[in-house]
Amino acid sequence: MSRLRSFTAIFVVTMFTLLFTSNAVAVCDQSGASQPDRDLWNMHGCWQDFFLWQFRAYDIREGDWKDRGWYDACNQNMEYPKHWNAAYLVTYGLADNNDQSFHGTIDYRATAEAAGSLFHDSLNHTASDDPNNLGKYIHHIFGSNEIQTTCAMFSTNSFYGNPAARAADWMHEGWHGWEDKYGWDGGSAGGHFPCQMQPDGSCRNGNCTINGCDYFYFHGIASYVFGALWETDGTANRFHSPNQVEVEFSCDVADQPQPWVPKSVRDSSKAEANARSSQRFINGPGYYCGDPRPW
Amino acid sequence: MWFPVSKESMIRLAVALSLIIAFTGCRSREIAPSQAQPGAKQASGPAPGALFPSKPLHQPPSLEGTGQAAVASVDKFIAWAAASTPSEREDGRRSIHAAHDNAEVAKALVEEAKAVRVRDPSRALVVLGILGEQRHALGEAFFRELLGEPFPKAGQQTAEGEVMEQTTVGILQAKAVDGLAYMRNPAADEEVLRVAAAHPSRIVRAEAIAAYLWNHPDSPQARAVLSKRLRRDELVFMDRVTRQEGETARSFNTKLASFLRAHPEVTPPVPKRLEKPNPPKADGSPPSWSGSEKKKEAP
Repeated sequence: MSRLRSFTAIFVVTMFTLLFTSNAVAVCDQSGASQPDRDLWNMHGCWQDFFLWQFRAYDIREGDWKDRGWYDACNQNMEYPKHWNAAYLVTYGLADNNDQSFHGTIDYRATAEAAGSLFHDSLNHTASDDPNNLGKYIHHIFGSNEIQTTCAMFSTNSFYGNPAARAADWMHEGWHGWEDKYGWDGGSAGGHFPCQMQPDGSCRNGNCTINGCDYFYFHGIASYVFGALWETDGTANRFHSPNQVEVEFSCDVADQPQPWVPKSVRDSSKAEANARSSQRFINGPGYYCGDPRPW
Repeated sequence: MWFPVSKESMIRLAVALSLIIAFTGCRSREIAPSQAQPGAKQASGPAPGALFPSKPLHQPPSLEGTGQAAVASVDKFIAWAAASTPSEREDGRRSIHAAHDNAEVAKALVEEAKAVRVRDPSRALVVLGILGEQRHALGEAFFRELLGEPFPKAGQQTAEGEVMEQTTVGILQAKAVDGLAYMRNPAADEEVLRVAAAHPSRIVRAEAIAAYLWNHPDSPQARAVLSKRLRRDELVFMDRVTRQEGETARSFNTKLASFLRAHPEVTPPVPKRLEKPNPPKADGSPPSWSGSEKKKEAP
């Protein structure tokens, strides 16, 4: 009798365990949203027409986002609402000033969105718990390629957990898609050039202090008409690297935003542009954005 | 192995299985059925184009009071400041300058910066910006304290070798050095120069260089002072191309051309093709059946 009870108990516990863990995947911190996420959110509220467009434009799939706000898309603490919040910034947040912006909305949208184009082959957006990356571009042999956005881009206690940084990362990853489409060699360290260990123990490559360095291909304002970011002549005169596209986007959000873009979004975008521009380029520094006045 | 089962045990087993089936049913109803598009639990709001015109602009709350009133005032001001638009910049500056002498406001800002710097570093950036613009001695002391903190040597490292804690602290310390340089007094300047030369983070050193030069505009003397202190491989940061807000293309492009003439070493090498590129996907247009349309050349 006691053996039967044990068997029944084990069976029941096993079944319950299986039932309640089969769909439970790890998710990011869903306890809150950063100041810039909240401020940007308040500019649109729960605008369902937008996310019902965005999930198609970014090829967001239920299976990838079901525990991350797919069913609760107006809960700004969840990953999917944060994802579409950042997409809102890309879609509407830039001024597109021909005399001042590095590139236009048409360029940044084509880089981030899913559709195959001159910018990249088709891709889809997923979320990932990977603690070792901010974002990731993955080439798939079959089906569309993939841009992963990781927890660091969603969590409030990470500097990157804000909509400007999230969108900027899509520019970076989307540009790996451009390199992939046209067969450009970005380097052996995850699509970037590695740093080399120095006698003082640091790892550097020129003026880059990270193990994932790019070149900065300096260009003037209006050198690229809006829509022409994808173009290159195959020389350093007309070319972009992933970190450069990310810096130029961040700078455009900070300096050339629409009149409604909140200060917390602009400030975090400027901080990221300048930090990245200072330490990610072998031939750096890249551009400095704005001025250092505190307010 | 099969266990002998009594009638009582059979009933218990049946009850257990029924419970499992019931819970399975509950669970399948608890999660929304598979749906082709995302859903929300709230009703949709209006299009944002209708929302923004109703936002009251140019009405910053004042920064004032003592004790709890100062804390409440600071909290309200931060909320306004974080959400403020580009056209409200001067409104914000005027309100902050009006509180220049208010130590209680400065103290409340410092406390808020300490409270949120780990929980929400992007909010801390806004708070540090207000504190820097206020130019109060308590703010200056806090900036020194923040810059004096040991820089993290380890933490969550990405595949690219970025230590996340270093980036977060570096960005906040860079904002602190902006505030310190804006104090525009000899002691603060000396600390900015020390940071520009010796801070372990390139992010912070680069910001110190930019802030020092911006606060001593067009001063050959400032450049001379700075150039004696900087690492040799970072002298180029003094000439860094800056795109200022609202700057025209002609102005920026002229500066860029001068920079590239002065620093031919920053010219990047010719980009390389992958030796073994990934095979192209079949997600474009199919090949022309007649062969009349040639495939577009890759750039």
